[in-house]
Amino acid sequence: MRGMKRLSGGTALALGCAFWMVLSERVVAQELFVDPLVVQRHAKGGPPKIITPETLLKSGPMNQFRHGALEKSEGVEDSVLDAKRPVKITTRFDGAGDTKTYAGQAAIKGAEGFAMGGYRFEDSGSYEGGDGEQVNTGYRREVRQFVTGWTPSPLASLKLIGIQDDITDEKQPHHSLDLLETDRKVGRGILETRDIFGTGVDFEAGLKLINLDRQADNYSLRSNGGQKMRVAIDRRIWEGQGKASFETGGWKNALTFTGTHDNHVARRYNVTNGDKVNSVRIPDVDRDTLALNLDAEKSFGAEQDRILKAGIRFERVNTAPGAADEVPDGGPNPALFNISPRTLYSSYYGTTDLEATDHNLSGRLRYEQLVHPAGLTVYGDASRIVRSADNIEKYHAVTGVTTSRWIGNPQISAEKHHKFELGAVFEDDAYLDYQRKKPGSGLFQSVRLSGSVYYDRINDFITLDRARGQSGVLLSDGAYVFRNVNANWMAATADLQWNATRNLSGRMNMVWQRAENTTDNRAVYQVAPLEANILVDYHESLGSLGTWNVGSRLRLVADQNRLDDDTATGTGFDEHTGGFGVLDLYAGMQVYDRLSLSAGIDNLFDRDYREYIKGNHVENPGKSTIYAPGRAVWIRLSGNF
Amino acid sequence: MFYAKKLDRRAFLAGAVASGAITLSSRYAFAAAEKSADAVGIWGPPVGPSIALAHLTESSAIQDAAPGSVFRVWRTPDQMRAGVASGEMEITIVPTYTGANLFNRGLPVKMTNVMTWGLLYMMSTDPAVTSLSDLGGKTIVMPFRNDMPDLVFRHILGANGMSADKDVNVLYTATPLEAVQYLLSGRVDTAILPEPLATASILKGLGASISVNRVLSLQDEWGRATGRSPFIPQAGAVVSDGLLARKPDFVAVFNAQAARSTDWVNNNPASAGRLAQDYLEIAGPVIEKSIPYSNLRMVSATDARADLEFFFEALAQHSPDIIGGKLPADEFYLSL
Repeated sequence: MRGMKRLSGGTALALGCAFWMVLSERVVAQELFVDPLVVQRHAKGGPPKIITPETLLKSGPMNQFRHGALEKSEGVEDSVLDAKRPVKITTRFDGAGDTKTYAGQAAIKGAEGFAMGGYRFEDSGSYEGGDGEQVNTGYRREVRQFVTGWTPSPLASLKLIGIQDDITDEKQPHHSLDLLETDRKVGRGILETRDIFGTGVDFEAGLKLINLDRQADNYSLRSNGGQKMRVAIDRRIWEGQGKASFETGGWKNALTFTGTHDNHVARRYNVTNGDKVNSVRIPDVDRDTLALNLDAEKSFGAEQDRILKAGIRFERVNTAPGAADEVPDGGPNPALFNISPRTLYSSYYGTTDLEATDHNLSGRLRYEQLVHPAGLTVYGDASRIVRSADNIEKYHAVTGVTTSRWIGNPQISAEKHHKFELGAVFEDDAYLDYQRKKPGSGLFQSVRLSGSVYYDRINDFITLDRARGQSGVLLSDGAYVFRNVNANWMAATADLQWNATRNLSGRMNMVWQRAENTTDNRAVYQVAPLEANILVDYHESLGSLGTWNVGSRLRLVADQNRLDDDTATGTGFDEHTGGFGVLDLYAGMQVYDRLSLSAGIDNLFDRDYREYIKGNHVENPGKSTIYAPGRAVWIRLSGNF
Repeated sequence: MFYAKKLDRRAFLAGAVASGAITLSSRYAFAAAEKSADAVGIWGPPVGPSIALAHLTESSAIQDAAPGSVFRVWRTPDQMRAGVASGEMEITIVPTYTGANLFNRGLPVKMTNVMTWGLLYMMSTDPAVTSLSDLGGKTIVMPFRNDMPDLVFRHILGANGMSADKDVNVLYTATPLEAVQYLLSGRVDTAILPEPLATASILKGLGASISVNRVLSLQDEWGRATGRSPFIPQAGAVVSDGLLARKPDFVAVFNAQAARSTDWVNNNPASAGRLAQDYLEIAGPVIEKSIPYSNLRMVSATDARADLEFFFEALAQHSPDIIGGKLPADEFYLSL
């Protein structure tokens, strides 16, 4: 157990956790020890992460052109927003885009149940980049949440969750289309029973529905004198899950069955030509997944300071397009546009069998050991994760001039990751968390140092590429295609946290990665450059009224010189952006744990920079990076009742 | 560095290393601040008033007057008595009657203040229990026979025409935590609990689908029974004679800051919960929720003397030994 504490960081709360766990990421996703979903399509575009009840109040406004590997410290505001009060509200103004955010959350809990409701609204406009130019972006976002639970006994509970995350009028300055609507609805029910029929087996059953409605066009939010196009995306995912947890011979085991049905359809319409379809982008794909996970964990040693965890997953993934023979009739140039998905797949890959079934076997083994008395935990993690190609990798069918076509590969092989990770965490006894130090400990006695390295050999890495008649690609017309290649991926992370005093703390975090397409002997596109973040934070009491804090974040991003920027030899996906350093300052104060005021200046020195990793709210293989916001002030007011 | 138009990897690494070096070198700037032979040993049990002392020791007022002072927790009465006897605990929070007992037994301590005015509550899982009159024939779990909560409860029952020996069945436990376990296991449905355990029983009950109700404040019942204010001068700080000799001006600073820190704890229960987690190793949400029921208020011993003496006399009616057999002498109440 001591070993577990080392890796979790911070002190676990004994009480109230069950309720707040419901508000966490688990609201929308079950955690699995062996989970192919942790490996998504590389450089995938799509809607931003859904806002969960846990992040409803605290997350900043979205901006796809500004990243960061380490968030700024929350400051003393967290004692207002984390207080166990029934109603919390927050409002924020950001100078970048004159963005206004309003959010509120109300919760009630009794012995036999709980309920929580939340609402958030964001309204953002164009902002001034560090280069002084206006970036024509902006959006509105509304999030509605409802979570309720019935807990008639410690042995049984039923939870119902509903979330709507609706983003409207989101401008995409780096893309040819703007997003008029990105509406996601998540409904989930979870039934948990413990020690079922006195067998010692805990059982959990869940049903989840995710509905995505996305609308985009190239004329509503921008002036367009040419062809007017629109895109409609509709996706519905049903997932059922059953999980049994039990102990045998000192092993904690979990057997999880998951069944998923995913229907995904997307069409592009030529509005100028009578709103006719000119591309069946996702041809009504049905995707059925059946998966079985078996996980086992055991602690060894007199102090239970060695933990071995093993897991295996078998899944069957069946995919088939229902509209592969639909021939668009709205193309401005019929020869280039009015082509069915089936014809495209056949032309580019020679594929005639469009239904595909993968049988994937994944596994993972992890060992952790606490080294006495050093306060050091070391771990090794080896895994083979097999990921079937997603709907875009298999069935994307974007027609048009050849260099803007983007064609999926129905029979592309699943991606196989073989990842080996070694890591270590050193934690002083006096380290409780960042900015929390055990009282009475010495200057150098509250340090946490962690680091890890991993190597991932990827067989059949699914890469985006340009059609050049490569092996498996029949045409050489420069269209975007998907191929299997082999790749190596390496990464290292390091994190140092030091609580110098009970009030003053510092943190340095570094992330490095390198990826090579070994089949083509070139760098993998869109691999983030070396990045470091340095935080310095100070907090103090505000007389008998409350507390205050001040802090800074220095973000340093190195130049990325391993580019895939040539369409003649690669995808041409990358653009050189250069390294940069950005300093943010922030401060806050709160009174009575009831009212807080925070403010800060992002990009203090008005640095003009562009993120190397492109804006990713849309699938966008184009080479267009956008300047991040220049110097901008933000202010936030929060309260609870 | 921030103005560099291009940050290549070499420059990046140089910057990162330099930043780290600055951070590391700055560590030495703080080294001297923590070393002091002038520190005062400030202690308390893991209960509400101790959070104020934890906050107090982090204040500039205390760190200026006694650099390096740190608040520490005692876990058992034996540890406390040994600490007071040895002089290690120069200031410590104790139950006020324990302070009187220590003084009457000749230990070199004086009472400097009262910091909590009652932490006792009747908790019940039986919704039918809403007043003292509902207790007839019931079994009530109570930590420690003949300790202050027991004596206060007996006093209150007596004033209401009831007897703890005849009208109710009191089940005594060896620890307050055991009393909580009795309540949540369903073996009894009503308990007398001090904060923060009273709040902990509610929160633990929520996790176990058991509704635990705060039925009565014994402070309120004490007020009704005695005709006085609805407060019990339950715990405060005693100061060792050694500290008074070594740093005669410190206690005035201590009391002034204790008043401010008590206000801070009352005003900031969530922040105080976090502080309690660091110092007392009690879950923060429990402390956060218990503070409004902890009656934290700093009153100097001289100002609280009348309330203290009334309280001591009432307890002594039931068990004279609890205060050492007699009311403490005038010197017990430290005059600043």
